[in-house]
Amino acid sequence: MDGGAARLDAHAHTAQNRTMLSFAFRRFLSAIPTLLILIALAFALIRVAPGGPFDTEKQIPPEIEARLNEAYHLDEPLYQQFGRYLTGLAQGDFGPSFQYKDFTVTELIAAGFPVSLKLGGLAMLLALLVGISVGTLAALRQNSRTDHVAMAAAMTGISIPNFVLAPLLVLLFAVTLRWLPAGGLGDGSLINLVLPVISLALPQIAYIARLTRGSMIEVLRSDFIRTARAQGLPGREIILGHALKPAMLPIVSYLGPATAGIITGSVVIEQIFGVPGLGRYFVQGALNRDYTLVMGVVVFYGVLIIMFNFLVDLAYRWLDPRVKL
Amino acid sequence: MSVQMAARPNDDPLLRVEGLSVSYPGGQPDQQTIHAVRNLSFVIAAGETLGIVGESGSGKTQSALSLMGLLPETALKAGSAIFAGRDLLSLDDGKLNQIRGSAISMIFQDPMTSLNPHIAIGRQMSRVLERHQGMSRRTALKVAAEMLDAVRVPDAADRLRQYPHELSGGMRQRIMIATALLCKPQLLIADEPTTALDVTVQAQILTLMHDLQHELGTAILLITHDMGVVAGLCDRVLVMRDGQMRECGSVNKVFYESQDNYTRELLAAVPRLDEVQPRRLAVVGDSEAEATADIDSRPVGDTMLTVDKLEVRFSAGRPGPFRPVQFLHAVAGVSLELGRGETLGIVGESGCGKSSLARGVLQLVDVHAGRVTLLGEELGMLDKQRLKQRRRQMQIIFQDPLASLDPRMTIADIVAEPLHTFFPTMSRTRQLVKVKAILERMGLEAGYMNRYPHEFSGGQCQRIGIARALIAEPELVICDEPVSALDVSVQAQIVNLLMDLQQDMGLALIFIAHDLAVVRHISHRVMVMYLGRIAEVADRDALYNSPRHPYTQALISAVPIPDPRVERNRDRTLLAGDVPSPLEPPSGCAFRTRCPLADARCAAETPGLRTAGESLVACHHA
Amino acid sequence: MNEAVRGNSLWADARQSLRRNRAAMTAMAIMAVVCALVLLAPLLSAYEFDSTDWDQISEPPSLVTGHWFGTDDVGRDLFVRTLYGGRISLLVGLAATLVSLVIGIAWGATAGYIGGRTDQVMMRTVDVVYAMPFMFFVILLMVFFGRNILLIFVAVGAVNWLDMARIVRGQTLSLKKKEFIEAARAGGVSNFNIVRRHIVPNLLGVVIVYVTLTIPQVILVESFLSFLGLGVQEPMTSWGALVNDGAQAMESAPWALIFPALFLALTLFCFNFLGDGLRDALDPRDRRASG
Repeated sequence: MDGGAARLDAHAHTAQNRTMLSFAFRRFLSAIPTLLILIALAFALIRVAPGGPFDTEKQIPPEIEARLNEAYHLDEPLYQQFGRYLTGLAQGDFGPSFQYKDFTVTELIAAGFPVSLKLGGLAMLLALLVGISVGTLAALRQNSRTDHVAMAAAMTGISIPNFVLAPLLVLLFAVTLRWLPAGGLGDGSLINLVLPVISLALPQIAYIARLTRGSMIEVLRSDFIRTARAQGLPGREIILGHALKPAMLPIVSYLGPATAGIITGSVVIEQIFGVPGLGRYFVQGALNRDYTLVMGVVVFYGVLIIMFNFLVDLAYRWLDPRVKL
Repeated sequence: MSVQMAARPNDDPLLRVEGLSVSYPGGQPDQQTIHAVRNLSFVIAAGETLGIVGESGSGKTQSALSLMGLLPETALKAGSAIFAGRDLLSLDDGKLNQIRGSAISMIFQDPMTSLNPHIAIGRQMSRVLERHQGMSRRTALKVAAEMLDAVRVPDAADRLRQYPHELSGGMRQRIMIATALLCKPQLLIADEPTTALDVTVQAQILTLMHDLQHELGTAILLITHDMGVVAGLCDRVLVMRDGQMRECGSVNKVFYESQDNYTRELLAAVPRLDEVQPRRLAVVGDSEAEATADIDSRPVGDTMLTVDKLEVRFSAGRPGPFRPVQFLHAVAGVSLELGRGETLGIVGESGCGKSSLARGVLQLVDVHAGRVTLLGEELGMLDKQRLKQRRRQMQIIFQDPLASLDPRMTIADIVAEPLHTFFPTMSRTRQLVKVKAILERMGLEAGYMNRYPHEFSGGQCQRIGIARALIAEPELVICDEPVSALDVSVQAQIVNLLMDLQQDMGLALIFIAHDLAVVRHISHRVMVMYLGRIAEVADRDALYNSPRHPYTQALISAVPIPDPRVERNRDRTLLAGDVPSPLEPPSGCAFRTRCPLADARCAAETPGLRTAGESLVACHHA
Repeated sequence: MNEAVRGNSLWADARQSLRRNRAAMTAMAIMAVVCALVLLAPLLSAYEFDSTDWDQISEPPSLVTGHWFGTDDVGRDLFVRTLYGGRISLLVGLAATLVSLVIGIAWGATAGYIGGRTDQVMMRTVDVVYAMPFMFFVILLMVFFGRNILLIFVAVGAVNWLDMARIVRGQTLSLKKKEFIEAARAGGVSNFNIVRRHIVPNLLGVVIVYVTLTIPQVILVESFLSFLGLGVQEPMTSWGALVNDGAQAMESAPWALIFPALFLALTLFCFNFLGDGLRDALDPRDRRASG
């Protein structure tokens, strides 16, 4: 009897795993057109942009321009260029940079991304930790002083963009109080990242706190929480065992937009703090009309966001047993 | 740890509630304090069942929640509730948590929302045991499986790994009960435990509760609005209204020798399944309910509506590149005829397709196959303009009175909308005169015209909905569960109103409901549906007195009758399991999976309608 | 109908509960003041927004000189510049919101009301566009086509409509299932009239709330672009551009950072608070609970 039940269980489990796998597969397939559209869009934008990459230089003799165009395959028909670009991408090759003549875009991305990842990852971690704790606390003490203060602070956090916040923080902690360095990576120690990470994380902290509070209050009002209370479970166990999982669902769906927000924010934050990350390359590239670099970064971040959304979907599916596959 | 009962003299009750009051002070200066419960006192002895009955707003649920310490924080409590020597009302959460779920448990109305959809059932159950009995999770899961066995949940061990949404409503309520009984409580509080369930499932759950009580000796505090449930299950009854106790006594005393006007009126307002009341339903607060002609004396005219092999289907779920479109056959070939001035009642449990049938007849959903002919014209063949004109002759009344009224429109605009559509040239003044007249006919003051739906009660909203349906003087009105969302006393008023209107206007009615007693009261003929098909059609008395189809028989036997002597001596045919999903109906006869007579032929062959006695029945064995 | 009692419409109820919300009312008052200042800017100061005063470079705020917010590094009056910057920021906010409103409602309501395959295709499109790193595209556009205010409107509006479309579609879908819509269909009301008389009025509450919350988002995007030097061009300015200028000079002239930053943050703050207040006031669920 017991053995039979166990076998049944194992059966159910592999079935469940299979549906999960097939869901992952289907979801992955549906991400491919999105990716292609993204690349095509970026490609098209750059090709229709007025002025070639070498226009900013002083007058170039026509034969040299032709040579350059040939070297960069700009003389081929568009679809061939696109095909070439796609093939390159598939091999992780974003092409040469127009501006940094000695580097390929791949090399530039490889140099900038780890810095940005560290910055963004830390900011995201901080945002989740603080945001969820503050939001939960506010929900548990709904309408108390703690709640009001926390939510007023959150509202302030949402309303102060990080490019406003960052200079203000620098003004206060670096210029006036001289507690923290104002910019650059210095010797690479973490203390240099404190201000950038906080500036990047604060708006997200605020947003996540509000989101958590709202969803937690909603969950705490639901019938199954009343059931748990009627079962005599203590508050802590109700929060951790019953409320947290459903309350986290909106946060999980927000992870995608949050990542996009942090990536976008990192562009200005890296600019303000002089952090040599990918965002900074992007802005420099944009100002210098370094087409391949700019496009490389857009595609790279686009792929990153799409992949991340895919993972978030999987996580959501895993967290909420009711989501239909 | 479960709380051990202190030694107490035998005559001491299990729970003694004295002077219980619950009130909500208004948050704003212009809001008044709401007194949900006032000065309520009662006792429950060990092992007995006390029913608290009342309509919505009577305070019955508030009283129960206050005992469990589950009221919102804004509530003010007064009085005392002594259980095992302790006052439940004054215990803090920590002390209360030693009693809740252990010595006193509670189950709730909606088993879907009351179970946590995100957590496996086994885990939800084992938490209770780990908490109160200090068991390891392993042992707890084993005990949980045993308890699921005890509440007749099949394959208990497998269920523990499942999530609530994977189970049917009846199964979920069994799991709620099993969870509540895990620690062998002395008192089980059941708040409308069967209200959200189909009637055949309700019968299973009530029987289960009755049996368990005998096995375990648990006292039950049963909160319900259903007099029939009380009659079957309770030893004593407490009747509440507006937060106060009207009467309390043994079931027989309250049902047969009530001293209280309200109780008597409430009982009289309930339509009975086992007898035809040859009169209007009594209305609470109106003792001079005049006698009206019984339904039988009303003439039935010639056929005005014919439905021929109607099929309605919906695509279920999103079709994707990897998933074929799945169809839900809500109505799978239903034929019927209706005469002028006739009422056809349609009954069936959830998923039987009764509402889809109504929408198919009215051409509100796409009809997949079959014909609907109204007054000699086939509706499916009409062009848009002609169909719009025909709509004047067929109207619908909905289940949820508030949801059926546009919240942003005034009552006058809502009721006048059909005039607007069908008589575009009618002047606004004329429209308003007509609106005023029909509102008064519905028993509403014309002064309400400029108000908005949310300012009215459910019963009033339903009257407004009826006014809208009738203002363009239709000939056919489909009532889709028009009284299911209403309290008994309001239900009686609406039923009386509909019957009067039918007589005055010569309306043909299709009256859809899951309440068999109401349908018996109002209908000439009754049709029983099961999973999109007709199980049985017959004249009212034939159907109720000698049902032919095993499903009709089970349905009728499942309905509790608000008469303790009758109810307790009935022989019940209990159906097994729940209604199967209409997405995957069984082969052959759809009812065979629950049918006591099913054999091989039933699985192979779909039975057609044929005459048996005075009925048309779709059953190989009838 | 003289004897008829006037009912309390949901709008009236919402107005009442909004009036009780002190935070939202304060936000509204502050916004009124900011708008008045920004509109009346030329009348409030003796200085022009683009006139340089080489004797007054990077002067701190002073009541004596009339440079209430000080001057910037080319001697322009920051009070006037802050208010003119506000004009651009608010204008962009309103115009781009309008763009997103029109596209979003049309798209969302169509998808939601027609449903079926149309809905699927339309919403799938939204999903795809949604997955694009849109800020990067806007930056690309700015770089390629030059800094053009109109382009900012279009770019920002064209991206923000996605949320609007999703919300409107969701609402339309849930409204479509409501029994009062079914009642209207049973009553022979035409599709057009159902949308006009029943769907749109019931969508309005959500749309108003969402508009209030979109405006600050758009202002934020414009400021972001201006901060990167991709927004409006000198000598015109916006709050974002001013914050950028101020950040460059913050060690020597912190006022050049603080005042524009304050105005920007205050405006966003007020819009967000008002949006929150409106949401509470228009949320039908709360009314059910108290009624």
